Amino acid sequence: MRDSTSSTHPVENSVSELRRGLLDAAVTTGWLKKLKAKALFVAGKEDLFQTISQVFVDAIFSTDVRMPRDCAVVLCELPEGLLFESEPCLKAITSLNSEVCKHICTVSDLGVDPEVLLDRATNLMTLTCMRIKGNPPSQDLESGARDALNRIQWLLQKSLGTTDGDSRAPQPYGDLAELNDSKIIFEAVGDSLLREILDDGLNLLETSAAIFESNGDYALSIKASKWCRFMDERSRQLAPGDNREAIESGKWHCNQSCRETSLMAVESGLPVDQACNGGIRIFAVPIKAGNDIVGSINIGYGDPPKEKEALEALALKYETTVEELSNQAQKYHSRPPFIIEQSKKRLLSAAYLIGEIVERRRSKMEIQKLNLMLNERIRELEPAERERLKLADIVEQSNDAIFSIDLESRVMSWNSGAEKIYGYSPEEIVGQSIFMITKEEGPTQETEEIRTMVMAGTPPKMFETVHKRKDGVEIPVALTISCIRNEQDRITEISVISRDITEKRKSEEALKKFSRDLERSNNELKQFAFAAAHDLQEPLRAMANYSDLLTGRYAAMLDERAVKYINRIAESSERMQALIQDLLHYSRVDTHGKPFAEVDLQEVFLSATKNLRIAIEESGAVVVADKLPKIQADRSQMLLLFQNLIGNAIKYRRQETPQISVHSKLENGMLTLDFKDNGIGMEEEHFERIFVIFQRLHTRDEYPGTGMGLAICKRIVDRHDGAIWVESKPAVGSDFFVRLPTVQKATGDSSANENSAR
Amino acid sequence: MKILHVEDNLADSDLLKEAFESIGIEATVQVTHDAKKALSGLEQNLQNQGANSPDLIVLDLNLPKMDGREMLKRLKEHPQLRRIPVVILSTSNLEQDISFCYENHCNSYIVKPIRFEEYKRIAKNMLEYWFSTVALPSGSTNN
Repeated sequence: MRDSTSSTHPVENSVSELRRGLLDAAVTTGWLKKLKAKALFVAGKEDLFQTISQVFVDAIFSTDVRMPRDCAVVLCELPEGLLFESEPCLKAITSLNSEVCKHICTVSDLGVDPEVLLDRATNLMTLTCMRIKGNPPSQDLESGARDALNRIQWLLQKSLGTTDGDSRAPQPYGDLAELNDSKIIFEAVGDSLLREILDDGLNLLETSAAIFESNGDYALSIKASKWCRFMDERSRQLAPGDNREAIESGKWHCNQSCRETSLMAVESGLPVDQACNGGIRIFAVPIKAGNDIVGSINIGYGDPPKEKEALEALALKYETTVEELSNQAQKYHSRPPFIIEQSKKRLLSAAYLIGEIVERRRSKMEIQKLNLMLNERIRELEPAERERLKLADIVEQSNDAIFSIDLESRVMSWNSGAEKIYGYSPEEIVGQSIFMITKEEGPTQETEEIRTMVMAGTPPKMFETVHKRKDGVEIPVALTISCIRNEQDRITEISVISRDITEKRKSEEALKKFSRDLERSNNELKQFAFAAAHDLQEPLRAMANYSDLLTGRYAAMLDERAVKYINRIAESSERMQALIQDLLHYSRVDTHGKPFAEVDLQEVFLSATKNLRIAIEESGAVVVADKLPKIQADRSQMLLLFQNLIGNAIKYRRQETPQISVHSKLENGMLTLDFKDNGIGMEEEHFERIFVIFQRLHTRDEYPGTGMGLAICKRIVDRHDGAIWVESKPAVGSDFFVRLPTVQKATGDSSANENSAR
Repeated sequence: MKILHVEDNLADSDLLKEAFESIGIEATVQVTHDAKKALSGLEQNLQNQGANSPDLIVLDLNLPKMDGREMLKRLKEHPQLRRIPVVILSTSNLEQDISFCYENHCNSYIVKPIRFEEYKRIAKNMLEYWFSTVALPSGSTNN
């Protein structure tokens, strides 16, 4: 508070002279009395003005100078270099001491009406216009005016950055921003930027400021002025518990009104301006991000109350003393309305700014989220894409023709296999009609039928037809047709895989021819066999029988030798017949082979031993077998096989009792039989020979037989797609192994085309 | 005992006669090589109230003109003639022939043996079986 009698401002020597001069002038001339003008302007350049105005103020109010009733003292600072004057003003001023005039007036302008000038000056004012009207200068008036002036006096001292003590220090109860659950604004804008924004307002108003999230949580709160700090801390002490509980109790008055005002702004979507519990006012502006209100920013303004009633009510509410309140109130520097209005305007801009930042951050996060989703999708598609590329590769590299046509029979795709087979390059055929490759070069009944089936969703299974190459050559092909559907599950394309089956056809033809040849050969053989069965054997029989009749009837006339010779003839015929019989058996293995059916080898073994019972009895042989399985075979041939092998085992015995056994092993669909005996055995060099037709290891005198038995066995085994071999040791015994598949691939029907080509 | 032997091969028909002779059984054997004629002859017998009807027919299969198989069928389809037992005596040991003959109701099937001893045995068995063991239907000469 400035004392009028002392000057703390730096005053130049000339100015103090001026002051004295002015005082003298004012007193001696009583010029103010005489002043007819309504207003007295003191105008000048900035620095000079400051000095002059102080001097003037001092001059006017320090002595017993009486101001005319309706005279306004306007102290105005004008834009540099520009001064206004008017005739009457100038006249008024020039009636003063010329010394004073010299200092006051410099540049004149174009002559402006004082009223207008007053008007303009008030617009440009940075100081309060003091209007002293109607009241005689009294102490109240003086001190009132002085007070008013003093109130704004501090502005001259103020510069940015200086604060009212330690107002930025955190409150003793801690940082309420820690309770922020919402954090939308806090995270979007950031602590430091929020503080900067609030600082703007606080620098001007020096009260308190806060930014709230939409749910009422603090994003930031600053109590800058001593008054606000005092009131806030005082009311905090009135509320119980921790910060959260204190907020909810409703007894923390300052917090309460701050929040309430802010929430009103948030809910209404409009700025709110009302009194607060702490005795000043709050201006709250909602913060809009896009279409949402995400919070509010508010600032306190106005002077703490000075009236006794107000202070008393406040003291009661806050449970403190009037003295204390008064003390705190004194510390607050009043703000001119202009500054308050400007601060409010700034607040509106700040709210807009924060809203924009939040909105932009939201958008950025949206974009980031979309980006993530997009990358996710791309990653998902990658394997699908790779799979697709893999399939595309397979299609392209396939040797088969793979192509597709649309519903108008135009070629849509054409792989390299198709080019190889048909001779058309993709450029030549894509977009053209598929009938370029058909034999008829146009739709036929067959193609129409196929089309109907495809459109019904049931394309035909692989079928064969004839296509035509670019060079006109007709080729047989096997086609596989399938439908291609779009997302709506409608058939849009037909895909075709075409395989050139020329080779296959050739093989088929060759096979058919071979089958026909074989069948013819078999038939010729059958006829031969039939002839052999009858015509060849008749003469032989006659020879044998009549030889017998001869020796019978004419025994008396024949000597021993004659009988012997005649017997030799009979025996030869007999042997010849046996040979023919065996040859017939041998040939009939294939020509008279019966179709394969399920055969119980156990039963076959029993039948064979029954058929051989005389030989078994005579030799005293012991013949046993494992449990034999059922297999697919020709039963009569199996019987012959068993009879031959067991018969041989009996025939080629040693002195010891013949021990003959049939062992069985089943593995992987193959049956291995072991016809084991303890007979005479044979050398290894003979192992293969014995299976050849007519091969005998002994003379007929030693062992009877035609040498066909094992050859027939081999033929039977070959017909059944099996194998036969022997392992043996002379004078120990032999193992004849027979391996047979349990299931036959062919039917074994020798009358059908499907003959096992051997 | 009357036997009708249908056989085209003289050698074979002689052999059977020889066999019968050597075992010392009286049997009248009529040999014919013509199956057709034999059939018509048999039918004629019927008209004569069965006079000269054979008690047994021994039938070869492979005959000229009408085949033995055909004759067998005819015989066994004939309402009266089918009563006469038919023994097939053939060179064929083919299973299909044997099956065929039994399917067409031959009474038995014998494969012609190679040696004479066997022939004698067969002849003996045949005569003993058909003329001493079994009962034949009335109308035969064997009362």
